Amino acid sequence: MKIEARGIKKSFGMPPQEVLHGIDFIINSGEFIALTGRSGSGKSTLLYILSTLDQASEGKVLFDDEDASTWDSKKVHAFRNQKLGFVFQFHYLLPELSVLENVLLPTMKTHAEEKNKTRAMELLDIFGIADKAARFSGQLSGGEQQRVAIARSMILRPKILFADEPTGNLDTHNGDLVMNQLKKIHEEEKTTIVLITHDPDFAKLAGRQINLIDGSIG
Amino acid sequence: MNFLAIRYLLSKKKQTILTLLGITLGTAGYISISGIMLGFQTYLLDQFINSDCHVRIQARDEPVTEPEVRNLLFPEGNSIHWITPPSGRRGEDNIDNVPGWTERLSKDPRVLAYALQLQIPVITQFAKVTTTTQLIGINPDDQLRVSNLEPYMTVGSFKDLSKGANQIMVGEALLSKVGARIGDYLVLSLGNKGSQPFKVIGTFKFGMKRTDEGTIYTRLVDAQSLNRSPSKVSDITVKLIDPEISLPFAQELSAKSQELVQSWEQINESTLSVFKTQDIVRYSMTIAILVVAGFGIFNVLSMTVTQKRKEIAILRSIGYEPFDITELFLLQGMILGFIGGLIGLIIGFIICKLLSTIEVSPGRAMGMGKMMISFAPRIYLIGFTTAFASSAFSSFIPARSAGKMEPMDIMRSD
Ligand SMILES: Nc1ncnc2c1ncn2[C@@H]1O[C@H](COP(=O)(O)OP(=O)(O)OP(=O)(O)O)[C@@H](O)[C@H]1O
Ligand SMILES: [Mg+2]
Repeated sequence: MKIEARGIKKSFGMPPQEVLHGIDFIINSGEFIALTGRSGSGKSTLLYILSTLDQASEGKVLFDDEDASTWDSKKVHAFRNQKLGFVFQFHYLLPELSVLENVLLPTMKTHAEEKNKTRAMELLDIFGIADKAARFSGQLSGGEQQRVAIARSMILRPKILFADEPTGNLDTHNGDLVMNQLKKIHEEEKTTIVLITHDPDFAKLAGRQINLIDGSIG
Repeated sequence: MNFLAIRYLLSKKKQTILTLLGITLGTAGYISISGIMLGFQTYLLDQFINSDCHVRIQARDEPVTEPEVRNLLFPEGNSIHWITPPSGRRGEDNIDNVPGWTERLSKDPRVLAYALQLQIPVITQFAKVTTTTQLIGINPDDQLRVSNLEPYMTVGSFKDLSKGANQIMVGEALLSKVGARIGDYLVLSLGNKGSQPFKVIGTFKFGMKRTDEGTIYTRLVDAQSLNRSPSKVSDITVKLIDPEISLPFAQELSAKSQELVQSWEQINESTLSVFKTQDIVRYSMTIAILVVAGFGIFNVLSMTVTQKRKEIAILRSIGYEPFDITELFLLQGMILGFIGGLIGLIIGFIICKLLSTIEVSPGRAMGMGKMMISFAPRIYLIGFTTAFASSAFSSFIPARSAGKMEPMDIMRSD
């Protein structure tokens, strides 16, 4: 799925402070983009706008040439559920649910959890936490939780996957594991990936880098 | 979302149990208090309506008023000045036209049965003990058609009265007060009209002290002969086919006659007003459950919503809609209300069952002398509905605010 950013500006607060100063780009279907830049340059802000979670102050985001701001709430949520995957900077799991249930959470929206159980277990297996599937997610280490969150983002084979420093909490081994997995679904399933990372090596794995400097593309 | 709602409740067991406890206790309290009050009311109403009569006709005795006397004596005189204005009581303690009444009542299709009575105050004496009592002369067969008295008999039957002259049924309390037994003779006297001995052939117990200590039943003819007034009747008791029309029926008769005609509602007005107070207490209880259950749930859910902000953001980013989030929290409140209400019903029912085994009036035939508890389905319906509805209502407010949260606002605020 193609993503197009047109003149995206974002301001916060009163008086408004502009954080993004008019961002334009096109990410083609199946591209793997690394979003880089210094801390505070506006990467997360841009990612949230691209992923429909936040609204731009000006400009718009188009998915396959459709303006997402014209969609109603139902469509936006169905789109997030079926077409997008998220990995946040801070791994947010639901501590009341088991690891497996957390992974299956997106599928529960459409009551498709039974159908996806095998895939969920496969994903957990790939990330080396299949043996912990029945545990409550609060009992996992930070890195393990992050991997569960990534498995969850992939469960419905999203068209686009947004990841905000998914490897931030992981050691080298697990960081590589996650990156390889992202690379794999990008190659096998033609998933469009937008990845924020500080790690230059990981950034190099991407097909293209978009570098933000103080809220503008550098 | 049901699955997640249940998980949320289970994950904070202590809070859940405390909230449930509040709802449960409120509901159980309402049920047992209503059971006691309504049971008592039903019992008394039964006494008023079925054990006494629907409508009572009595000789009217009322104060004499000045304008009445003036109009009678000086129909044209407007400038009358009394040195001492007339005062006093008019009236007869007997009903004037008994045959007229009996004819009228037997022709009225609304009347099921009627019975004549002569009620006279008498002094009762046994050995050296004397006490004042109300002697009620009845025709047993007629009276039993009007009043359901037999369940209150502890010894004998009212029908036995017709088997001979000068026999009496007395309250159990009266019997022990004067120290007499079945088969003893009590001397009933009427001041200057003399006295006669009466044989005790049975006892009753209504469970109301004043009646049980101060009432004696005998045959109408025996009462009349003691009173030396052969055909005198002081009261006519009436049973209607439909007790609901007692009041209009009494009002209609009262307007057309000299006598005082009162329905059971009018006779027992003061007790019925106590019922009203009790009902207010019960409704206040209902409001109390509402508040207890409501506040408990409101607090717990508001806290949960605040604690779960990040999870709400996650769920929304995964594609759960605002409505799903509202439902998630609304369901928790409704589950709490449902389960709490249900357990409350069961506990309330058990309490009522236990209460109904307590003996409050030993020897009373009616309800075997046990505490009268109402198990009316209405109580249970109201108790449960109130608990459930208030739980649902008070979870709606935090649930809706959870639904309105936007994921970005949550993520930014951390
Ligand atoms: N809610 C907000 N209110 C005001 N300013 C904000 C808000 N969110 C972000 N900012 C500001 O916008 C700028 C960009 O923030 P953003 O989180 O996008 O940076 P980032 O590139 O993701 O940084 P990092 O690499 O540290 O995650 C920062 O200066 C930040 O202070
Ligand atoms: Mg960031």
